[in-house]
Formats: sequence, structure tokens, C-alpha cells
Amino acid sequence: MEELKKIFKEIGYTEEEMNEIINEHGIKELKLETLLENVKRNYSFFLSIGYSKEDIIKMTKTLPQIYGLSIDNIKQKIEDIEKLGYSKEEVIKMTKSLPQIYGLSIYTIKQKIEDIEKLGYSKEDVIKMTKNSPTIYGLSIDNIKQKIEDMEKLGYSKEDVIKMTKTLPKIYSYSIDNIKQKIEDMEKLGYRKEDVIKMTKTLPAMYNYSIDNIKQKIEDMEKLGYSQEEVIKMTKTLPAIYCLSIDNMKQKIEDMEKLGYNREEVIKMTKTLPQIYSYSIDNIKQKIEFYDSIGLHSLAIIDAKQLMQSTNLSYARYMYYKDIGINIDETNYRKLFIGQKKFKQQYGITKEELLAKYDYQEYMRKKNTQDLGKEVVDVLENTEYLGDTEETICAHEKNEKSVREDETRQSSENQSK
Amino acid sequence: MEEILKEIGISENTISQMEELCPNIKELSKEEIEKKIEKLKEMKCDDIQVRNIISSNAIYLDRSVTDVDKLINTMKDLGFDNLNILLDGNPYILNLDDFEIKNYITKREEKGELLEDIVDDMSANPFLFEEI
Repeated sequence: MEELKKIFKEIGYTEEEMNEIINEHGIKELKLETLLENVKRNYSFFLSIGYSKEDIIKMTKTLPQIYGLSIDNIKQKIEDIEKLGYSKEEVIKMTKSLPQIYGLSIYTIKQKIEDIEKLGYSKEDVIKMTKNSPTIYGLSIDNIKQKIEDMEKLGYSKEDVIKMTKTLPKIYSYSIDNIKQKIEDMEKLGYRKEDVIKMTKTLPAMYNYSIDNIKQKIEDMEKLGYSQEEVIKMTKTLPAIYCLSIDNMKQKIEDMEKLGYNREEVIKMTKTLPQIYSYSIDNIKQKIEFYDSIGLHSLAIIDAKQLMQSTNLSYARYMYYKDIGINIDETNYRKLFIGQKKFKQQYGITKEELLAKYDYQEYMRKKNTQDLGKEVVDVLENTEYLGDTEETICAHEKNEKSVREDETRQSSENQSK
Repeated sequence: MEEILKEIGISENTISQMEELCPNIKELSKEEIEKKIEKLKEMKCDDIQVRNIISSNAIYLDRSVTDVDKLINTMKDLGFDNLNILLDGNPYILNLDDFEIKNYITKREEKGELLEDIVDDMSANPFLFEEI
């Protein structure tokens, strides 16, 4: 017993923790010598496959029976779980969060996967969900079904719940009261219940954010120049704004300013098209540069939503209009954005034909090559030392030529002599 | 993960913004990201469209391929064409499930609109997908 105490102490357990472990069902039945041997052996084995000392203490406090398992048993369990579609590292990660997995038979795990699949998930979904939230293996299928029913009562469809939990499986671990509370808190901020339902369908991670976190983001955005009502409106369209750091938002505003808009204009366009905050700057730049090139710099301010149309299509239509003698400007820019059906009826050309005839990527490639050519000429013209080098080369060539001419002249004079 | 995103032309700053929007992408393997790029190429997205879509919608990378396939097939069946153009305009469409688009269209049909007109309207106004 003294040696056992010593080992437990060396590993890092308190005496109380040790007593709880050795008195647990499945462990207390073991002989002291066997338990001592198992603790030493299993502890070393777990360390060797990637668990830390803290992980092992935490796992065995939750599931002391781990010290009753043989190494072959543990290895076999890991292998069996790997065969279901997890990597060894994932099994280790999952069992750190839910050591009880070592206590489940592979049959039980398979059965759980099948039961969850029957709710409307693919096997691929279940594997992914349990990697993110292993606690799902600890929930009974009735518990999961009950949560779906509770969520349906809140206003989600069953399909919505399935979709949301694929992204945020933790929802199954949240109490329904907590979910209701979050909805109420959001309502107090100015959202309607339907808005919260819609927002959380798009971004289930909203349930992860504390209400203080959300309030702070609203305050930060107010400092950028939006009113609370505007933030509420923008986040109804793009709840992902709540995921962005305020620094990233400031950066986006600065990037937009560099494209030629003042701060007020940027704020105005993001109120209409909050998606600007989640578009990459390269994507926005491509759009803005195109509209700049056709004299529609103001489009982003007066009708920001139109920025959503693919530049490929805007370019093709713009060129088509140009070819048939219609000049697009601020007075008739909407022609670029009409429905395809109307466009085809009016001009007799399909979208495919249009895109094939006026290929934006091809245009960009040519433009880039030309720009590069122009840049090289500019560099040659404007870089003094390169000019000098060129002159030196010319002078050297002239010199060589005159030497060659002299030699030829001399040689013919010698011959004639 | 970062390596392959850089290969398709996404800058470090944008990658950090993508990670803010969808922290799960940090856990994705190169193969998983390659599969998603391949899907976009199957829809005839060129390199710039692939970059635009992925850099503006990190959540797409975290979706299951099965769900994306279902969505794309449903959209094609409903009559959406030139998906590369549509997705370049509104990359968030890729975060929808097939049933969400079907439900939205059914609601509009119930109000008397024709499927063809609804699809045309949605294709011309990609922001309408935000109503779903």
C-alpha cells in the first residue's frame, strides 16, 4: 500500500484522489500488487502515446477504471475507433475530453453513430461532430431527440437543428433554458425573436457568445460611426460581424479608404452591404477597380448591393453595351444588373455566349501583361543608372564597331599595297 | 492549412480574418481544403473566383462535402446556371443547405411566382439569398 501511495503521489494525485480511485468499482476488486503494476504500466503507456501527466490524472479521476484496462485492450480500443474514421491523434484528443470513451464497447459506439445517422446526419457528419464535441458520445439518443424537439418549439425546424448542430454540436450540451435566455437577451438588445432564430441558423456560434461580448461589439461599432439600430440591422443580415475583431473591422475601413472613399462613404456602404466586412480585400479591390475603370467609382456608395454581382458578368455586359453603342454611366448603370431573362429577351444573347465573348479573365491577363510592359518601359526611362548602362552599352557597341571598321579598312589597304 | 490558402493567392492578413470568422478551419487538413477547391473548379470557377469565394467565406471550407454536393445539385435542378458567377457574387450561398433554398422558392411559388422567374430574380440579385 505504501508503494502504491508513493507512486500516486509521484504522478501528482492527492491522497484523497488516490482513495477515490482505489475505491472505485472495477478497481477496488484488484489486488494491490496488480493495481500497482497497472498504474505504472498504463501511466507509462499513456505518456508514450501522447497524453500529458495532467491529461492522465484528469482522465483517471473521471474514469478510474482506466487503470483496470490492459495495454492490449487500450490499443485495441484506439484501433477500433480509428477504423470508424478518426485519426489516432483525434482519438487521443477526444478521450482527453471524454475519457468515458475508453469505457464504451466498440459496439456501443457504432450503435450511437447509427442512431445519430437516423436523425438525419451522414456518418461523415457524426464523425466530424464527435471530433469537435466528444460529449455527444455521452448523451443518450433520447436526450438528443428531446433537444431537437425543444429547439423545434423555439421556432427551428428539425432540418434547421440538424444543420446547426453540424456546425456547433455543442448545442446538444446546452440546456434549453440557457438557449431561451440567450434569445431573450438578444430581444432586449432590439432583435425580434424571428431575427435571433434566423441569425443563429446562419451562425449557430452565436450561442457561444456571451451577451456581454455582444454588447461590447455593439459599443465598439458605435465608436466606428454606427448607431445601435444600424448595428442591429447590419448583424441581422450578417451575424458573422460578431465574429470579427474590431481591429479587423478598422483595417477593412482603412483598406476601403485606400481605394478612394472617405470614412463616411465607407460607413454608408457597409450599412447597405455589411458583407463588405467579410469579403476579402482582394475581392473588393477587384470589384472597385473594375467600376473605377468604367467611371462608376460612386456605385459602391449609391448602390453598394450591386457590388455583389460577379465582376465577370458586369464586365461582359459593359463590353456588350459598348459594342452596340450604349455607353454605361451613372444614369443608366442599372442596365448592368438586370435579370438574365430580360437581358436575353432584349438583346438575344445568352449569359454563356456573353461570358464567352467577353472574357474578363482574358482581359485581365492582357491588361496585366500590358501594364507589366508599360512598367518596364517606365523603369527603363526613369531609372538613371539603367539609362547610363544603356548608354554605356551603346558606346561600347559603337566603339567595337568602329574598331572592326578600322581593322577592315586597314586590312583592305594592306591587301591593295 | 495556411500553405495551401497562400498558394491560391490569399494573403496572411486575410487568412487571420478567415480564422476569426471560422476558427474550425485551423483544424482542417490540406486534403480537405483541396477537395473544396476542386468542387469550385468543377463549377468552372477560375483561379480568381476560387480565391474570392474562399477568402470571403471561410465557413465553406468547414462544410461537409456531402452537403455542398446536395446544395449544388439542387440548385442545378432548380435551374440555376453559371454557378461560378453566382457564387463569385455571393459566396455565402455555399453555407446554405438544399432544403433552405427549396423552402424559400416554395414560399415564393405559393405567392404565385413562377420557378423560372424566381431563379432569374435570385441570379440577378445575389443578395436575395440573404433573405433565406
